[in-house]
Amino acid sequence: MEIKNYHKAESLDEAYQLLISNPKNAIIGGGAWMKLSSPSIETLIDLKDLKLDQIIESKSSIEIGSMVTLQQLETNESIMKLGHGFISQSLSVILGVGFRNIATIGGTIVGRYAFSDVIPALLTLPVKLVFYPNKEMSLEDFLNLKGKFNDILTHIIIEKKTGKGFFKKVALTPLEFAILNVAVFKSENDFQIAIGSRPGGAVLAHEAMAFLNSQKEISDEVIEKTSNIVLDTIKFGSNKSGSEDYRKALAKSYVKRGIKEVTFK
Amino acid sequence: MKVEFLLNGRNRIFDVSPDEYLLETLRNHYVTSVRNGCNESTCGVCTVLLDGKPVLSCTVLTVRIEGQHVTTVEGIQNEVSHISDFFGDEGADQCGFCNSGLALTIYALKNEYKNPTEADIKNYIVGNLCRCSGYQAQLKAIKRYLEDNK
Repeated sequence: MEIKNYHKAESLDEAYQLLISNPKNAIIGGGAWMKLSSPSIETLIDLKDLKLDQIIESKSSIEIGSMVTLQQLETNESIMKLGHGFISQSLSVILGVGFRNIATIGGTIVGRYAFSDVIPALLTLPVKLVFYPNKEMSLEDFLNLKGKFNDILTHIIIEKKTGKGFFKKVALTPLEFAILNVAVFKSENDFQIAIGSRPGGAVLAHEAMAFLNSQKEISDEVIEKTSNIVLDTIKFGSNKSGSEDYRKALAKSYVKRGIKEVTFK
Repeated sequence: MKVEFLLNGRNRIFDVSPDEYLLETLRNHYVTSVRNGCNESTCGVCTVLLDGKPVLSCTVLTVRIEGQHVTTVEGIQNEVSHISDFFGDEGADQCGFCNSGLALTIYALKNEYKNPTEADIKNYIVGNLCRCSGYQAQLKAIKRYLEDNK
């Protein structure tokens, strides 16, 4: 990795103008995964003085600045209450505290890392991303974007929903990337199911959710069928951490467990 | 680039390149209590405190910490000595390579939590790997240290 220049931005507009002035310029979030990407960067633009490290709770939402660290987020009281703590749980399994004090939620989301533990959990909630200069979109739409995206993520807004969440990371050891992540959230009205580290990036299980949400009663048979739809409609693959078959077996088991946990416990 | 920050309470100015990590800066200036282990954000032996919070110095670019406080074990010698007593008593010390990073993490844990549970302790120190001890003796030592500091 080579960084030729470093610039601490004094405003979002200054950062944006500098970013678009050269395709080799880049914004740094926490910089935690920068060594993985080993890019050659002309000017690294730092947002750390722009007060994007706040978490503000209102009656209906939680607004998170993109420079909030994963540790800040994990231990924030508003976040700990969401879905009985499943977002905090998904953050607590990301390496150690020394890492989570560096990595930011903005960097995690913009990186669209397939191995991310927190992205599947966030996908099950109504999450809106706010970009400078003037764009908003859902987390799911952002994850589905193709190509380079130059706008600057400034805030992540989670609409508060009453409900219960479930999160499971399966990994060989706590410090390794997940072989599979499963998140389930049940609100008053419906279920959301997300699968990450497939090893592809996290996705919502739309077909399985549509089936489950159309049922009047959640029986063992319905849960079994929902898990089968997840396997039939979501693409799983193999890598050195685990085979496609192993991931499917895990997904089946943990989707069922997640639905039961948010429904009956 | 010139970067100025407080190292163990003393104002220091370092001349670094934009892609130099704090681990390199410290070790290049003979602060070798900060160990170089995996150098890829995993093992925790390079832990330092940045404004009181544990961070992996192999993952922090030095240019980003202008004006901040960096603490290594040299900056909290009495506390480290106190922690070491419990480690010695419990037989939690072996090669010692991970000790400085772990001691800083334990010190931060003590400051952050009033009454940490065993799960809190394990979650906090999970990023500090030790290849000798098997963790049980360390866990006992940490609990005794925290109990003693209540």
